[in-house]
Amino acid sequence: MAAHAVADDLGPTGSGNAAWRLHDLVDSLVVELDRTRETLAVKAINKKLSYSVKEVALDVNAFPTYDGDAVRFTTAAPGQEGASKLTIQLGSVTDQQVRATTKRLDGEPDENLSELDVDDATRSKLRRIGVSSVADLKDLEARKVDLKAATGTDIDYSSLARKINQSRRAKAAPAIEGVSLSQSEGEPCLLIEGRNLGLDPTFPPVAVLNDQLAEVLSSGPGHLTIRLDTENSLREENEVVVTLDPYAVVKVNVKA
Amino acid sequence: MSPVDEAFIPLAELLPQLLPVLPDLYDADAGVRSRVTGLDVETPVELDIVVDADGHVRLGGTPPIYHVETSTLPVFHAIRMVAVRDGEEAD
Repeated sequence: MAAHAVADDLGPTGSGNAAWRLHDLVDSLVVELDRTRETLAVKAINKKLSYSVKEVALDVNAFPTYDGDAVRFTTAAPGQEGASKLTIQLGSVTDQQVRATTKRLDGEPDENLSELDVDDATRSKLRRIGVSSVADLKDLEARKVDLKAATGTDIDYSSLARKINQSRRAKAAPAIEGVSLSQSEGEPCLLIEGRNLGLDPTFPPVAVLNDQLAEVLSSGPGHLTIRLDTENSLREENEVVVTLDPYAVVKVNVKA
Repeated sequence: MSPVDEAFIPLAELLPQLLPVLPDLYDADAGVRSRVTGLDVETPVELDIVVDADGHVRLGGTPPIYHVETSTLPVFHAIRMVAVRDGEEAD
């Protein structure tokens, strides 16, 4: 077993006998099988006598290990005894079976949980109950599944929704490209232009000019206008703080 | 990308080579024609399972390389493939 421990220490570096996850091995096997079918299909064009692969099974001798988070396998090396035998069997499926077992794609690509800024522990716990995307999460919420009970943790929909929204906002972070004086209905106003400013139609932005609440006259993804009046007039140096939504606050220093 | 050991080939290249293309057997005297309708191949293989830095696995395989019994034998995994002749239905 000493050799086995050394093999584990090499880690997933691509060198030596690195540990692998079962689904990565299956992914690789599926790709190889698809390529085999493509090769045979090409061969069938030139040779009348050809075969179609209906089933492939691979037996791998490996040592499973559990690191507290995931089960990984290290391929048995020469001289090592007591390895487990994994049998992975891939069969052909019909297009009907694919449709029955595959999630429906609704135009917009599904947001994968791994792309969102959710901590690893939460992501891992969700994966264990088969949640890999935001759509999976919505599906569970619609069925009123108790996440706390299902995962045995304090994960709930509202905290996840907050994290997901935070992550989405970080991907569409606000950027200010210019600030100028303007007029709206004959009154002076401060026009802030940029990108990803007012994105949430349910949350009107809140502006504070020099520590005084200021009225936001209009807002959109590319602009924001703030009313300037006697209580909110510009000084030589001004600080404008705008809360665009619960996940985005911008501060701008404006020199008059 | 870490390469698979050069003694091994990707499974996509190995698998088609395990399928012999056998012509129909025809005995004019007996008036019998036989044809292979399917193959079920099972063989021990040596595997090279390479893990990239990003965790992706690449598989290389080869039938047993050496045919000499040594004190420490290589690890023999196994692969089984069922193929049917085009136009035939699998059982």
